Amino acid sequence: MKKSLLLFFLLFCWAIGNAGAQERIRVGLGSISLQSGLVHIAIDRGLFAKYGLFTESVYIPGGSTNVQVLVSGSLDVSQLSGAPGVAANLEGADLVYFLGLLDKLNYQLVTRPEVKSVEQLKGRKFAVSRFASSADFGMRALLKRLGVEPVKEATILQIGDEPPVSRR
Amino acid sequence: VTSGNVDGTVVNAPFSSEAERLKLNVIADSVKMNIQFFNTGMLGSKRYMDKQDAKVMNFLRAYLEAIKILKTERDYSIKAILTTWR
Repeated sequence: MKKSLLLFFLLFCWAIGNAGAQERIRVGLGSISLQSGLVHIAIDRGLFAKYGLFTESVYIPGGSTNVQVLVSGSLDVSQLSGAPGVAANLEGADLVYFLGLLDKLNYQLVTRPEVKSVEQLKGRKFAVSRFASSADFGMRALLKRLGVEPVKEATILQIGDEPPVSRR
Repeated sequence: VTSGNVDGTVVNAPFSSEAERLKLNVIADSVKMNIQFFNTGMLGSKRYMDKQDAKVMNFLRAYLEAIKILKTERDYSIKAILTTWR
């Protein structure tokens, strides 16, 4: 009985010691996307734990808001497009991108059922999450490529972000 | 867009099947148009990188293994991502 208790105590101490050995890292996710799923795959498959990390992922919609939290020190790293970090650095932040995943814009322009062609885009109202976001950049880039001058020939409205539904 | 308050928006690709379900039209796809853009990256403060370089390296190791899983285990990856964001 005493041996069992001693063994249990030693195992308990070992478990506590191991849990404490994991270093915490707080990761901000700026959008609901395939790329942000990578953090969750790494958590689900125990990859961070394998390298001694305990990772907390936080969904903070919008690059500019995410960068503010990052600069405040409430996040350690964030997964974002290039625009918010560059904009923050131009204002004096000291942010560094240490990983790049995609070097192409990957947005699709979707429209109501009655808007079926490029020719019908002029004079229409389009929504983005926030001005100066990557969605805003994507919208303007797409419209220009399609021959529609943003602001002059189409209205762009900011309507807010995707709902915060991340489970972790 | 579905309520009719605006005529269109941009969404992360691929959205075609969801657009079809919602009876929306995909007018343009920036991936096919090959528009260069620093789309997604990982960033932190230089101060944090300097102080916690070992931790960041371990984070990258785990992250790169997750990329490998995403590329090689399609069914699992789709299920994991859908479960997370649903």
